[in-house]
This record gives sequence, C-alpha cells and structure tokens, in this order.
Amino acid sequence: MTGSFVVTGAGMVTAAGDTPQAILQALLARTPLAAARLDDGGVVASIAEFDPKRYILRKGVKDLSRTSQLACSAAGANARAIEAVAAEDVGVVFGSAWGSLTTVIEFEREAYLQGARFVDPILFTETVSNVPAGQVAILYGWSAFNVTVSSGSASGLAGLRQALAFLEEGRALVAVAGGGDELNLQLLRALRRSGIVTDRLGSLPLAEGRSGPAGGEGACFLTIESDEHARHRGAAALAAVRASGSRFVPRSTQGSGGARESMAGLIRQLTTRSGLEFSAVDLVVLSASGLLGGDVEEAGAVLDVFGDGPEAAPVMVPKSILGETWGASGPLAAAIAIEVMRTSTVPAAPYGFALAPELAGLNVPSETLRRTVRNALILDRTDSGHQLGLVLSLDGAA
Amino acid sequence: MIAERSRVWITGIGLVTPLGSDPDVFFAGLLEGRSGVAAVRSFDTSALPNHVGCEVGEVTVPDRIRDRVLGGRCCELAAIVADQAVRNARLDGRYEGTGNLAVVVGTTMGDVSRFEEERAAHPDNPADDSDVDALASRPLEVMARTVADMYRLSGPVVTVPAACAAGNYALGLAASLLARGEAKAALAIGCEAFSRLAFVGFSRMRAMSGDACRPFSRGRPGLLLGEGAAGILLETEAAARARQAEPLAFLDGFGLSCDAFHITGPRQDGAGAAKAMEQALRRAGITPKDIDYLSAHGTGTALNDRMESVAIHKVFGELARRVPVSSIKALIGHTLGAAGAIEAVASILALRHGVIPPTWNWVEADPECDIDCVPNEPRAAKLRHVLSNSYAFGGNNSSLVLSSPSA
Repeated sequence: MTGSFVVTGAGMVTAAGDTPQAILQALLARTPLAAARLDDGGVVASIAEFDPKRYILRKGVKDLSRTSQLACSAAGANARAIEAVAAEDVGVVFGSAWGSLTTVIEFEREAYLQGARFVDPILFTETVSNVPAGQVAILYGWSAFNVTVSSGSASGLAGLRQALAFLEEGRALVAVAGGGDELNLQLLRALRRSGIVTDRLGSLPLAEGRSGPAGGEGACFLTIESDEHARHRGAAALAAVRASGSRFVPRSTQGSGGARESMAGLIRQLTTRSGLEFSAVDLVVLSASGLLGGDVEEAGAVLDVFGDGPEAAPVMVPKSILGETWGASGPLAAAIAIEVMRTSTVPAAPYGFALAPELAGLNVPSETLRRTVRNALILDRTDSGHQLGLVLSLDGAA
Repeated sequence: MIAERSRVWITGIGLVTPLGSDPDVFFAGLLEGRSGVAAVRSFDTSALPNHVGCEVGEVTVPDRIRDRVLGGRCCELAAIVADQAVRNARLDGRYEGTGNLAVVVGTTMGDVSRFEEERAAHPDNPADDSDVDALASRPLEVMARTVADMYRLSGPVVTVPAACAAGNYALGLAASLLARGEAKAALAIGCEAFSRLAFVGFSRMRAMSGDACRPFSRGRPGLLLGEGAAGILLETEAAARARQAEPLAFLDGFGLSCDAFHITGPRQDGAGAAKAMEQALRRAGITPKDIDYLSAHGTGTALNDRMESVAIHKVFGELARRVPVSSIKALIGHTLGAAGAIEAVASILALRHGVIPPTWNWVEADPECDIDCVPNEPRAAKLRHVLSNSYAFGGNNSSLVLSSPSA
C-alpha cells in the first residue's frame, strides 16, 4: 500500500445493534445472540426488529431486497459523517457472499405462482448482485465508483481491500466500503445440510465440540480516506490502515496443513508490510466461526506466528456473539477492533467457553482485559480458500 | 502517443461465443454478419412474448481440465476460456502453483444453471430444498475458484459481479492488481450462461426485442440475450518481457463511475458514462482525438443507445460524428457479465486486423444517435487505440482503452 489511509467512520446494522459501542457491549456481555431456534431445528441470529424505514428516508423501501435494505441502512451513519464531501468524490464497494440469492429464489417462486408473463420486473432487478451497492449509491448520491465483490464470508474484507486499491489509484477521495448479507431460511437449511452452519445452540468458535456458526445477517461499511484528506476536512481518524493482504489456497494444498501455513505466511506478510514487530500486535480478531477445520487453520496460524500463552496477543472472535454475518463479518470485525482500541477494552470469550484442545495455548481471554491496544490484526478466511487480512492502528489516528 | 511507462500487456485471449470459440472464426463472423440469433433451446419460452436469443450450444470442456470444474455451465465457460487464454499466451506452466497469477472473474447471474435444471424438473412447484442446495453449493465466486484451482494459484482471486459491466470490471481490476505489484500476471474473465432467470427478467422489463437487435437504429426494438465467455491474460511488461512474450495489445486505461441515479435506467444526460470514458482516456495518457474506434455498449435498447450517443458527444465534442462506433451485440446478443470481456477480445482483434466490425441490422438513422455507427459494412482502418464501453444495472459505467502494440 503506497498511501496513508485512515478510517473515519463506521455504519452498521446487526443483531447486536447499529453502533460499534452497542456491539462491543454485546461482546462484553458474553452471551451469544443466536438464541432463536426455528421450527425446522435451525438456530439464527437474525435482526428480529429490523425496520429499514428507521434508516432509509425515501419511498419504495419495501421493494428493496433485504440485502439492499441492510446495505442502505448501514451506510446511513457513513453518510452523515461525510455530508461535507462532494458526492461525486465518494465511491462505494460492497462485498457479499450470496448476492441476491434470496431474491433469486423469490423471483422463481413468483414466476411459478403468477406465471413468467406476470412476475414483477422490479423483483428481477433485485436478483442482480450489484444492485445493493447501486441502491446505496442512489440513496446517497455517491458516484465516484460502485463495485461489488464476492469472496464468500470474506467478501466484506475483500471489499475493504478493493476500496483501498481504488483510493490509492486516486479514483475517489473517500470510499464507503464494506459488505453484508441477509438471512435466508431456505439458504440456511441448505447450509446446515452441508455442515456450514450449526443446528445446535451454544456452538462456539474455537471451542471444544463446536459444530459451526449460527446463521446471522447484517451489513457494515467503513469510511476510508487518505490521512491528508481527513485532516483537510477536519475529520477525526478512528484508526490508520497499516496494511492489507490476501491469499488463496487452492484445493490441492488445502489439506496437510497447507492452508494453515498459508495463513501464517499472510500474517507475517501483513506485519512486515505494517512495519510492526510481532510483539507490537496487541489484538488479533479472528473470523473463526466454529467450523472444525477452519478454526484450526486460522487460530493455528496465529499460534504458529505469535506463540502461545498469556504473553501472546489476545484473540477476539466476534462470530461467537454475532453468528456468521457473511459479507458483513470482516468490516464488522474491523469496526469492533477500532472500538476495542478506542476503549482499551478487550472482551472475554462468552460464558461457558472451553478452548478446543487442539488450540491449546491460544490466548483467548477468560476475563475482560483493560489494556492499551494500539495495533490490531483482523483476519478472515473461507473454506473455499480465501484468506484476507488487515492491520489497523491507533498510531496515525486522531 | 503513450508516454514512456510500464504498460499492461495482453498476451493471451480465449473465448466462447454464439459465433464460435476460435478467435479468427469469431472475428470473421463479426465481419461477415453471421448471426448467432436463433430460437431459444435451453428452456421453454412459450409463456413469454420473447422466443429468440443467442446461445452457444453444446460446449466441450477439454479432458485436461474437466475434473477441475466445480460448478455448472458458467464454470465450464470460465474454465474453457481460461485454458484457451493460457495456451494462447504460451505460458507452458509458468505461474502454475504460484501466487504470481491473479484471477478476476466478472459475471451477472453467476452459476445458476443447476438451480434452473432442478427447477425445470418440477416446474409446477416452488423451489424446494434440492433447488436451494444447487444455489448454495455454487456461490458467486465458484468460477474464480475453479480457475484458481485449475492452476493451483495462491495469489489474488477476485469475483466481481458487476452485472453487464462485469467483463470490463474484471479487466480493470486485474490491471489494477498488476499495477500494484500484487501479481505478475492476471487472468481476467467475463462469463455468463444463458439463464431462464435473466430471460424472464429482461422480458418482463420489456427490454427485449422479439426478433433482431438493431443498435443505434431508429425504432430499435430492444436487446437480445446471449451467452458466452472471454478470458484475457494480462501481464506486467517486465514479466512478459522476461519470457519474451509478444503483446497482442495493451490495456492502457480503465475508467469507471456510477450514475447514482436509477437502478436500471441510465442517466440520459450521459454524464456518468462520459466520466468513465474521460477517466479511461486520462489514465491511458491520450485524448479523444487518439481514439480510432469505439466499441459501444450498444445494447439496442432505446434508452441505452441514446444515452451512449449523448455521452460520446460530451467526450468527443466535434469529433463525435467522426469517430467510428459499433456494437457487436446485433450478432451475439447481450452476453451480460461476459459482454465487456468478449467485446475487449473483439477490439483486440480489430486492432490486429485493422478492420472495424460493423453494427449489423442497422436500418435507419436515429437523430438521437447522431454518431457514425459503422452500419452493416466492415471498415478497414489503421487502429491505434480503441475505447470499449460497458454499462450495468446499479448505474455502473466502465470504459477501457486498448491499444495496438505499435501505438
């Protein structure tokens, strides 16, 4: 990364609330949100009371897909923070794992019920995966660029990386970047059948006996701009972006520790790019979701690089509380890390957490830590092979 | 004249289109006016007012890559064009098993073919669990993953579902990865399988023609849907020179913008599209007078072609009526996520052959499309720089500058 970029805002909609403070409070409360059990046996962490009209002040909100509603709602806080920036200088990047899959199913259903000749064309529009990002742009007028990316549950972090690239290239002064996905019960059932989400209440990431994440939903955007632009407009930098990186693990090397080795390599690359010693990393935010192999890949790499025991950087796992929010998860992890840095408060693992034996030594706090956190490493991975990371720092922030 | 700087080299191409899967056959088809339009074979259209499209027909996945394909038809298309582009570039295994080759795939609908096959098996019932399994097992990124797995790649793997501009976006994002040193080479792919979902949707939007697509022609009846894919291998100049590769063309500029106006309809003042074109020219270090041919988005819809013409006037000013503009969609239809990539290949071939493929099916001048749309006759020309546009839902505008190796 050649430029110096800072995060100056964060907007989100999650089951734990719509501010970083609310989400950190939920993490500090140490009780997973996935308490809802469905009639078909699934467990979810949905945003039960989500009312897009609270956030979106325009007509036609009901015609938007839920992903579009979540995205437009989350971006509201970002919009308020950059009101003084010309809309033509603001670009949007949105990462989504599933795109508009729910609407695809819905469109097919309507085509069946009403006949292909009568299905609502507006519904078709919302099947197209880049439409949520387009709706955000329309709502707030942001026109510098508009990009949707998809890398499974790491889509949101992929979106942040793409935004950084475009900012470096001078394509906008400000990027509103993040991701999101909606909860779809039919999809959730399909994912349960494939073992990607759990049907058991109390499955915790990194824990003994884990069986995957609860299905969640949400959206989150970070406002990113150059340090210079933020200073020029008098915006407070919440954190500086020190480095970002990505790798892919092809199927042929996913077994026999290849993925873990690759993740360790990514961590080393990110710390090098950040100009940080390993000991300067004060917090590691994992994307661990409770998948057996995935957690070992990610947390194992952290052990390989940072070592074990209480002297190693503490590890935080937002999905233990929020469930799997797919495209939202990476940006949410970044927003939470910033809040942890700002408050010098590292949440402990949820109540009842017992670290899996194969991850022994991983520094998952059992009590809330009060300590200075200046540098945070945010990691993301998918079973399909994507590995991404981001380093945020208070150094360079206001 | 491009200023002295490192350029992105295009060293390999591959494609699957309704006009064939061999670049020479494809380009000859564009020049001869061979139409890919036929009655839709993939599914029953009897419940709809539209019945024609531009399908590829049966595709053959080479044995050497067949077991690497992780999904359905869209994956097959992506795998085939990746294989073609890599072989065309004579990579001979270079970059395999490394992080030096990035993959960027653009698509609109993704790999929905198995879902549609499952649905066709019980059309009288709503989608059931097995249908949704078919969707869940093939997320948007499955094409990119297929290609990365084919070559055991560990570098950047990106999926950009940018709807009808996805092919251009894939090329632009791939070039960006090279410029930032994230890889030495990149496979940029646009791919789209013929989909009932899209067909019903565009039909219901009343955007589709009942017979022919007539870009820029007065009274044009709308677009036709197509399918296909194109793969383009990009390399940094240093990497290409190191292996003594020959450039087919250069990718010199990528511009993009968003209308932020309407989710399906373009801004009729053309401001967003103009901004993307101007940005691509600026990044290429050239001006409108350097453009010898403009490969239009040219869908054949009333709104798009009018807007694109207005945008061309905004950018080209008094040159607007002189720059040759054409759309190949009259022959191969709108291939959605593949369109930008296929049109980039057509542009590369035009640069190499010194011939502009015409806008076929053009009947009558439209005063609202006051441009030289090269109607119905190929035109020989010395081409140095081509500007290629793609637009999409969400108000996504994109433009590429492709240049001849001699420019």
